[in-house]
Amino acid sequence: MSGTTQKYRNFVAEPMGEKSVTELAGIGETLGGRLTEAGFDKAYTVLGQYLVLKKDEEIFKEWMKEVCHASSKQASDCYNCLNDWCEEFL
Amino acid sequence: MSDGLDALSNKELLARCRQYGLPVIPVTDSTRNVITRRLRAAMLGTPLNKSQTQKNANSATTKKSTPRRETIHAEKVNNNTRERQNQSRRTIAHGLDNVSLSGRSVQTTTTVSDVGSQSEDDDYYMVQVPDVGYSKPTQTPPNREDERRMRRSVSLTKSGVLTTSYTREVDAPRYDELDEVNEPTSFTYERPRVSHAPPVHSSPSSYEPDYRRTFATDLNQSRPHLTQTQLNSTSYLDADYNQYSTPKSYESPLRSATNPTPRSPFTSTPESTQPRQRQTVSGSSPSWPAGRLIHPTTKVDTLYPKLDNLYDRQHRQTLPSTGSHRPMDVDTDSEPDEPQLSPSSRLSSNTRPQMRRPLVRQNPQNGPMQQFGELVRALDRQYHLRYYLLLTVLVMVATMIYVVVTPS
Repeated sequence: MSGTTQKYRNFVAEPMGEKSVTELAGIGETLGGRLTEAGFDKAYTVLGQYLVLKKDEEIFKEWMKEVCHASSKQASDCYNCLNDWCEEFL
Repeated sequence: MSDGLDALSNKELLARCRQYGLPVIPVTDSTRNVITRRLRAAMLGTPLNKSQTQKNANSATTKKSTPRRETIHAEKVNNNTRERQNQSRRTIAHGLDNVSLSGRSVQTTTTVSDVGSQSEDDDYYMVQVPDVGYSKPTQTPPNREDERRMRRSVSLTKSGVLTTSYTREVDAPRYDELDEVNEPTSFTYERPRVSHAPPVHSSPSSYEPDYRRTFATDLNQSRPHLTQTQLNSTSYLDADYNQYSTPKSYESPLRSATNPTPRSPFTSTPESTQPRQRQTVSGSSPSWPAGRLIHPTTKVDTLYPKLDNLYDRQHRQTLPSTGSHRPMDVDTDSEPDEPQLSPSSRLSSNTRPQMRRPLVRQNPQNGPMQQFGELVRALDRQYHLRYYLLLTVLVMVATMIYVVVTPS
């Protein structure tokens, strides 16, 4: 494991509130734009999708790849970010 | 697609998912495509991807309801690997804040006393090593070590507490037993304590048996009567000082405790007379009259002992010879050499000195003249009456010579 990124720690450290989707780990400007186009402009919308998918890692990653054409690493980072955030605040 | 999955409604897709054992996920517009793809792969038997193939091969229904960290099934190798990666990531997040490796070493040093438990901890760690191997090797083991260290520390704390409590429990009952034994005035239990006391304090061999007895009595009664202990210690010092010249001189002030007249502040408590009686027993000489059981054969005593002796004589003549209720009897309890009396004849543990009365009574030769002589000797020894008397006589003679020689 390469460790955690500062973006990951910042997101997991506090409630997401109205944070943008680009503040999720693994989601940059490009993927953020695609997600916004798909209607997932806020982080909590991606979280909602993550919860709708019942926290299933495989399905969530598959969804990420389908919606925003994320790579496996990007999808994994986003999943870990949301999963750990749920561990802390949900 | 030609399979008609796209034409199915959300409920139908959900039913198909249940039919093929896929995870039951709410079918929405955002999830419909994913569910359709997975359902199609399940129907055709073609793997969507490598991990998805294994997941479809295994029971996916159990995975959806299983929490991420609770169970680790051997059948879910890939999924578990990813989950462990997630766990290791969390572990790292906590590991940055909390020290794991250094904490383990510290714990090892602190648990040196408990060798068995420590070895058990090491064994447990070795057993758990393969279990950790599938995840990140550098980070997950410290996490498990921290968990075991916490559990380990709890068990060690319990053991230490138990040991300490055991020690105190052993000490406390002894003290209680001693007090309880003193209360019922049972002599059978007091004997071992008296014999046991001298070696504990390691009294020198040069001490007299009287001194030992007094010291043993202090051990037995020091806790319930702190004032008495101080008196006893003071009496020891006096005894040591008087051993060279007159070992019984210190007894005289305490002697007044037996008398009903409040000469000294010790008269209120009968226990205060213990040191005096012990010394009396040790110094008892055959020359004393029958009524003076407690007094030693001192020649240097002050006026008080003599007056006390006189009082004792009168008091013993008036009272019967039982004397078990007297406070003077309290002192002889500490003597281990003395034969024990029946518990029924004693009102309290203070009645032991009764055995010494016959020893003193064996010498009824002392009369009033001898008593007076002893008194005079005592006064002379204390106040130097001879010197003053001689000086007075010399002055008188000088005066007479001066009167005679000088012409009036």
